[in-house]
Amino acid sequence: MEFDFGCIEPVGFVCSVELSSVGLWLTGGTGNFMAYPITLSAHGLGMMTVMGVVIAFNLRILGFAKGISISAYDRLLMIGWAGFMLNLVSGLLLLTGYFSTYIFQGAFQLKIALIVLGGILMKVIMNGVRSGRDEKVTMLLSVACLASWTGAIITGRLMAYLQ
Amino acid sequence: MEFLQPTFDWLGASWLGVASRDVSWIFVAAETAHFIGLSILFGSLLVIDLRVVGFARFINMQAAMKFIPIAIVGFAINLLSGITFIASNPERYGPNIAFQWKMGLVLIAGLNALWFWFGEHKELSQLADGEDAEFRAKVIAGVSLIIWVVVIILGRFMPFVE
Repeated sequence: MEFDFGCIEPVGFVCSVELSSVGLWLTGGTGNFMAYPITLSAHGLGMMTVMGVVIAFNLRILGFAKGISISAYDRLLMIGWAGFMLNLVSGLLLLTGYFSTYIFQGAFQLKIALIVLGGILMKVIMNGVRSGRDEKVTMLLSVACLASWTGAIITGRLMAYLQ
Repeated sequence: MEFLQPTFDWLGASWLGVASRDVSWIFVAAETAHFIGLSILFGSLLVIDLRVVGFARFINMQAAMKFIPIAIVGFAINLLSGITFIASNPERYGPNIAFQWKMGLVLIAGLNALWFWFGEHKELSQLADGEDAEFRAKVIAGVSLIIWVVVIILGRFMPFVE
């Protein structure tokens, strides 16, 4: 296992974050080499949960499994939120540890933008369902929502390759 | 997993193995597909299993069952992308302890799914909205969720236990 330390000294904001106690803990700088794989696994689990719920929800919006009433998805969306919180925390930890690598990286910036867009679209779709908006518009938004979250996964994977 | 090594080697020598080593984006694309496939599978299982366990009791059971083919699509994507990983580097996966556990659990999850389909599916389809499933069915659904969570974690651990 190789660790790619972008920063050598905690000079400047970016390197101060990366070499903070939290950053060093994540990258194994404090001798805890399980911190990174455990945080990464949590991030993977949260991602599957969020994306899983997003897919199941949007398939219903697009007309699949119509027998499920959309209000019955409430509990499922709660699980999706739990996955999102897990990924917010694990994602911030991962970002802290590799701050100089990721903060300026286009793939990372695009990923965050797509997550924000995907999250807003989920909310807009749900609001549209509740207020009885034209179904065609909601379905179009749903396709955009799925595309946005898929893009987040693609850019997230590319983060490991486009250093 | 030595008994599978000849199969892995054969995959590695096949056109898929050659292509996945020569074309730089194939492995990355397979990884991305593996993530999306697992999301499709896991999301479908969340709908079905959370309903059966009783956490999302108001999901219509018969409609939830429509997610079974979607789960199978997700699994098929992951089977194909997974085979691509092995073909790209046949020596890498067999000896990996996380891979071995992961494959064992996927097998158990498959048997569990067969039991769900042949043993519980018919009875469950008749549940009314909000009605509790039988304890036996809840155990099967709970086991399915736990196994897939562990599979996700083991998959992420594979590069760290080489």
